[in-house]
Amino acid sequence: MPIIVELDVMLARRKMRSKELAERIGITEQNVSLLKSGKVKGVRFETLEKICEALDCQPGDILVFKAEE
Amino acid sequence: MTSLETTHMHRCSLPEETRQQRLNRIRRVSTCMQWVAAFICLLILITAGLVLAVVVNPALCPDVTATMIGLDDIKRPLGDIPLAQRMGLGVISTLAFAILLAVFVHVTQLFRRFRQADFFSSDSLRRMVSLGRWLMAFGVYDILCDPVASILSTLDLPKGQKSLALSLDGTELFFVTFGSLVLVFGWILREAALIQDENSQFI
Repeated sequence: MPIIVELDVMLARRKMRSKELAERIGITEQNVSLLKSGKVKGVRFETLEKICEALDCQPGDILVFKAEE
Repeated sequence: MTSLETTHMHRCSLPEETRQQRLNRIRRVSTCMQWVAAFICLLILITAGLVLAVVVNPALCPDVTATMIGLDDIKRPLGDIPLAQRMGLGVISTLAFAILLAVFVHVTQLFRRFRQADFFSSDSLRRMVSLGRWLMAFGVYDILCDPVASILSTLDLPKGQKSLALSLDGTELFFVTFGSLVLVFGWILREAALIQDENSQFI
């Protein structure tokens, strides 16, 4: 999939665990895992906003486009 | 005014109500209707048993069976009809009750699922589609039962007194139309379930 989710990288930079992020943004830990692994069809803007607020980052820090070769 | 502004105006005019209030309303009505439909199923079974018993043995209820068969111009006491023909009429009646029972069993089960907020499961969708098919089947049955029943009622009579009743009224058309509406609605719900499934994959 061309859109790569680098949430785990940002979590590591901010030294935050998935569980803490899930609690801060109000979604389940399972959904955070799905998001980290990229096994989702999409992210709502509302969720993305909360993630960026919690991790103090930009959407581009979490979502990266890599064209398929 | 653009179409977007018109849509926004329509959205603003709807009464404000939370999702929980809507679900509560669905649950209340579904709970009530589930019991009503279950009671109707019981009534159908009891009525079917009584009708079948009287058709097989009209002597059980002579006052009722004296004027039981009435199809348009045909007025004939049930007891005067030979047993074989009466059994045919019994089969027709049983078929009617069986279709009605199938309809109301599906209705009961659907309301039970709606009461549990189970709108889009494969079982709910399957029952909705089946309900539509059974309603249409009853409409078709209703169209065919009058001519068949009239033949069975008068088969033993001499030439010139046999009868064939044909009718097409609002009731038959209603069941066929409403049944096809429910059937298509079931298919539409299936599409809604696919959309809901896709939406659930958005975090």
